[in-house]
Amino acid sequence: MSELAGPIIDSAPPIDWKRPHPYTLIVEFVSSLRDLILPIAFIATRRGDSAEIFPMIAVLLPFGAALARYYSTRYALTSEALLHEYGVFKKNKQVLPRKNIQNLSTSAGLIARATGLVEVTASDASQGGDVKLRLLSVEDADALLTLLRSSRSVAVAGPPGFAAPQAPSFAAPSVDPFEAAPIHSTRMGDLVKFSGATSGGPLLGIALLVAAVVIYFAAPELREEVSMGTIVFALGPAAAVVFPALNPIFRLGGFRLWSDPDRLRIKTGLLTEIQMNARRDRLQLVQVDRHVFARMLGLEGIAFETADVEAGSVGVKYLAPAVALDSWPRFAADALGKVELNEDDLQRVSPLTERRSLVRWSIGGVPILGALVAAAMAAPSGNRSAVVAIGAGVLAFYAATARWHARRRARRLGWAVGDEQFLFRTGVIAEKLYLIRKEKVHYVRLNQSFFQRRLGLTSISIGTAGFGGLGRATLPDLENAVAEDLADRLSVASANTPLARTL
Amino acid sequence: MGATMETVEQLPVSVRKLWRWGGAFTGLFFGLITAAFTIGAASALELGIAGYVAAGVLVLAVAAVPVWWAGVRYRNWGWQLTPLWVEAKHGVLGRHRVIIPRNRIQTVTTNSGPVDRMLDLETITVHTAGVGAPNLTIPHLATATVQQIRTELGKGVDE
Repeated sequence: MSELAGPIIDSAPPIDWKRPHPYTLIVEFVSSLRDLILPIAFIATRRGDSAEIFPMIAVLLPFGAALARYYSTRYALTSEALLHEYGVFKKNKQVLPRKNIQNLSTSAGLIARATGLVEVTASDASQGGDVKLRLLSVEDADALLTLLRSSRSVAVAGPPGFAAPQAPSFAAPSVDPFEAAPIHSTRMGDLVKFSGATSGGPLLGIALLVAAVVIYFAAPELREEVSMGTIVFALGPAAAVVFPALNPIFRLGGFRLWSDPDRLRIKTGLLTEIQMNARRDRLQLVQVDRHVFARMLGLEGIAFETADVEAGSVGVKYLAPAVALDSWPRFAADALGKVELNEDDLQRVSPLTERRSLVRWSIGGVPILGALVAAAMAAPSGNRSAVVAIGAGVLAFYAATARWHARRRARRLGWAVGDEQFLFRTGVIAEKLYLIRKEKVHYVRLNQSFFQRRLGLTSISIGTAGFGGLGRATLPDLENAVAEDLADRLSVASANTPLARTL
Repeated sequence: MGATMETVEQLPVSVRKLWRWGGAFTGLFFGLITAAFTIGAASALELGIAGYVAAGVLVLAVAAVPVWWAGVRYRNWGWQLTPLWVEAKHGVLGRHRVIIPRNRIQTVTTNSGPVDRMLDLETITVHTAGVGAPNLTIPHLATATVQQIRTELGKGVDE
């Protein structure tokens, strides 16, 4: 939706407004009945002497609301934009320039299907920019979609090196594209290992075990009171360990990837099977997930982000959820056309990041220290030495972890910029590698916290038009001058690329 | 941060006054709370005149900080419209800089509250594509400047 598109309406010829199909009244009536069910129920319980008018109210109120909604809704398709007006009390006007339309889809609920109507949704690349036209006859919807598709296919131009993108397709393909052999199938054993390692379950399990041991010694009277209720209560944390690991297995079980000239096709899911098409020209970045535990098992996950609304909302973000370590260049080359950088090209961030990391670990250790002191003071005198010993062990482990984390952070965080792409490596426990084409950069953000300013460090965030949670890559603790230079270089590269090639 | 600070535009001078008034109200609120606690503590501990003087100084300091902060915040706010991008810089303790290339702009919106309208100010927000992208918001610009920016950015979008 663009306010900047305002003048389009003024300069357009007289607008041919249309209303939804008259059957919409039935759907709106049912919808209003559902919305007004509480007031109607309230009137029903209070009817008393006015029992005879209750049926009238029960029918007239929703019907009136349906009429008002129907006559306040209209839409039009001009040569420039799709226009939509709706709302009874609050008048809403939507203008979606045709060149900005990213996706077209239709849907029909139970009542809509019974009356032969469909809802048409046209989306642009912004959040919440959908135009939903409810409800049109199938013929009107087809005519509208044909017109919109024809303008869309003219507007989009793909980046060099890729097959020309196709207009959004609404008809079922004549041949099942999933019949061919996939280029990758994830092995179930690898997926189970990867999910277990990356879910946070092992860390949570260790933390729960330590807490249980401390409580066991600090409060011996609790040992006598362990009952079935306590055990059932303890199942909650146990479930918190197990379920995060199980969810990806059901979602990504049976994962297969196909590579077509213009798009990637994915089929996945043990219970609910999801099929997804991701157009290559809309892929924003490739992200490699290398959790420390997964690395120990020799596995990594390769994810992607797309600007495609439908593909982005499916929730499947993997090109390969669990593959052998360092397989990412092969998948990234397939997704992005080529890979011009590898990890040997990475330059390290400022060595001062080690100091900053240690400060953060020190601050994080204060509550742990407080809890251990409280546990030692609360423990019976006979067990106090055991609690102190465990506490000292926990603190020693924490300090060693902090030291390892800070050193590894300084060694691993890095960046590299090539002619067309750039590569960020971030994270220590959950290490991530981002490979992004420069032309996909949509914004650059530099942030300095108070402590970073004192050390002369800056974090840089690069945003793309991605529609999921992976659309941004952040690299912390670059030296100020380096961050400024990087921001300027990436901004210039982005500013010199037409928008159509970045979405 | 900012190698091009000399070309960065500041917010209108009236914004400093607006933010200082806001700071004064905040200072008054926290000053009254601090006064209630410190004067109560000074009398309970029977600290005498010295206690009341110390309490008064503390109250004044608490009340003055938001007013001072508003001035510092104003000095650190800047924005820039170059042929290639729109940029904003701000922050007192931490510093933040956002750059959005002109041809990545999807939507430009403006809004103004009652106080803004009294002072002939508007806040402009620039949106890019994608979920979770930060909107670049420049607060309290003169209405004429906002119209000029919208026209300029509109050119960028159309191209």
